[in-house]
Amino acid sequence: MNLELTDDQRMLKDMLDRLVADTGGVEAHRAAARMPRGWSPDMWREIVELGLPAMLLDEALGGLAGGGTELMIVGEALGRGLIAAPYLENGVLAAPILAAGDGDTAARALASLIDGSRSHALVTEGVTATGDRLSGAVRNVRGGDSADTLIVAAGDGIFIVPADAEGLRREGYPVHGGGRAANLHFDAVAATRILTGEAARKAVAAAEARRITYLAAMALGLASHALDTTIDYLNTRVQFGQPLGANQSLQHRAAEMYVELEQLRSATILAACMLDEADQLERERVMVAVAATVARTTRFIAQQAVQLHGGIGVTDEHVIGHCFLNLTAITIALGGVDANVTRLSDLGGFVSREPYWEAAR
Amino acid sequence: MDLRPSPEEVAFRQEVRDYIRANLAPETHRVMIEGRIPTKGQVVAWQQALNARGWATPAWPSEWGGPGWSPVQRAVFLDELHQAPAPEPVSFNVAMLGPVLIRYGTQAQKERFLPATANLDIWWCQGFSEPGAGSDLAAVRTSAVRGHDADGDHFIVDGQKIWQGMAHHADWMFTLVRTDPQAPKKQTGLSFLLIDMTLPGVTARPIITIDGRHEVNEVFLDNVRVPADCLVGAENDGWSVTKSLLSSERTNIARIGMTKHILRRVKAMTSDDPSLGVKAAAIEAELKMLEVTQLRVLDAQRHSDGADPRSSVLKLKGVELRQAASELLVAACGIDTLRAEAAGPEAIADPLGTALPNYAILRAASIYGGASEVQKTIVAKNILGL
Repeated sequence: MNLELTDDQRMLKDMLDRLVADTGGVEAHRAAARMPRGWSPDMWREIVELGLPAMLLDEALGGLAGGGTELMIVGEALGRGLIAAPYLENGVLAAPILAAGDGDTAARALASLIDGSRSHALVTEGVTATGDRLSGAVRNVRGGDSADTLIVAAGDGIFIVPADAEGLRREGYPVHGGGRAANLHFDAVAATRILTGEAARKAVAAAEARRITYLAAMALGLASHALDTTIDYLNTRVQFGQPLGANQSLQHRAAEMYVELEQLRSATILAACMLDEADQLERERVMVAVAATVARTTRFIAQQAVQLHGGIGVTDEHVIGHCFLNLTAITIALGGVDANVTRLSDLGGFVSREPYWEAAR
Repeated sequence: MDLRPSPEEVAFRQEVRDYIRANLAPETHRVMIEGRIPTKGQVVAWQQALNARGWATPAWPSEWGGPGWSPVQRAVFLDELHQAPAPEPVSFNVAMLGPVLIRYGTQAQKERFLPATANLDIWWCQGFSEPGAGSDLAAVRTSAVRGHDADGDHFIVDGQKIWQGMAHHADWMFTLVRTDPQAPKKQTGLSFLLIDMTLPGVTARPIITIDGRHEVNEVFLDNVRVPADCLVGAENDGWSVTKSLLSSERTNIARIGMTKHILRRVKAMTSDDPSLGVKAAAIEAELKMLEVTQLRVLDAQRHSDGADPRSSVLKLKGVELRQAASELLVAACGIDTLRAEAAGPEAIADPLGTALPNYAILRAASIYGGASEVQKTIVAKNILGL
């Protein structure tokens, strides 16, 4: 066991904390939501210049050879700052798939991702492949309307499709909590295959693990920001002649929020540590348990943060309402508590049915 | 970051497991699996088997027979006991009084009591709570008046203690008593006194709990003459001694292995009703994260040995999950668990008849050892600054 950050990881964290302090916050978040792509090109440029889109890639590819811990550091910081940027779509999901992909098309796409000239979105369902032609429809693709390039898992392969390809139709829309998404329709769209078979299947499974880890980290950043803000409010807001925080029932509520925040932090650390786990079954068990934990803990923290703020908590002006919406959006994107817990049960859970000495799992 | 145990840790866990398997009496093991209470003889035999290996006192310094384990090793050891399941070394002896004597006791007290305490030749019970002093422990009223006679210095003790776990097995009781009723603060007039249960004037009476069992007692102290060499620490400094006792060895307070054992029993019964498996999985997910939380607290202890207020998080969440698991086992057993006696072969779901009593008595887990409400106040004040 080692829970220390390395010097490089500490530097990454400091750098992101500065970025978030300088450019994050609720005003920037609200402004970004009104922009055409749902995020600020200036903010994205800063993230690109820090080299973050290539963070998970090998050094030979211009990357920082980051893993789960780096992913957690970035997600927590960007979540805490309510940063609206297409990092999930590009740095987290697309970059490692493109790096694993074969051929010049994948290499060119990766270069355009790293230098920030083109944005990407990942499609993992709803599309079928006939040869190198893609057909089908998929809803709610995060970043799907602002992407310049789509990466599509279909049949036994993964394909690259330029967003302006013939036969591809996109209906974009803003989503609650910030950013945009799209419904996509593929009608015999010509695509370039970059991965096949087992390699493609593994790339999609690994992307799902990265998605859960990153969203957990974002949720951790948002939830810890929500709790800090709530504690400040309890200590400063005076009613009935005393700070709200002098009331024991509110102290205990805040303590309950803290307990769940610690569980959320543990879930995020666990996801980060299990991201590269070779045992696929164990990794999936952990990831669905993490997703369930994010959903369960953030529901309570977000709801109580609003409640303890009173009326200001439901205004567009105050950061707490945006924390609430973003946390709710993450929970929905992860599938909520019930679906993940049911999946964990289907996968056998963590505790064996057999007596301990016979099973020792 | 890396949560995986080191190869040494994996080997250590295996060594512990092998020793438990080889030395735990099969009948004691069966009692523990079924969620029943082991007899005094079974507990003594088991603790002596652990003591023979040097493992009865995991947190004691090696000078007094401790094995010199790290906090992580101590947690692994208890986890193996809980999952086996096997009895823990008696906590009153090993986790509570032993460390207090090592820190505050005189050399004579250490030599007199520590070896017998480790080997369970002396069984201790805790004499803190009183009818008027529960969570507000400093309100204790049992009086101890200093005196001197032909037999030497002594205290005359009068009062009533309550909730003495296993006092009917106990040879001695450690107590918090009021030696200075005039002290300006209620915390400053208290002393920590060891009382031989066989002294004239000591009477233990059973309290039967809602599980129908006799585990706790009330102890009446009527004009009991306690020799002055049974005072631990300075006179009127008993509050410091007691606080030290209550803050020691709280790292395995989450009792994760115990909850896993209950979940195993649930999962062995879920084939008829998949919804039970889903409910178990919900607890398993939370328990997995609590394991990580515990590892984080243990990791922090490598850098600082001060009290970690996050142990309150471990207590709160650990109890919540253990209670939830015990409730789920009742649901899994269904109506058969209403049968109050040891059930015969016709009882299918809960052949042991222990699910409901164990669920009922586990409600006490959020009351003893710092009630959940007290833990939340600690978190609010010491961590959140409210």
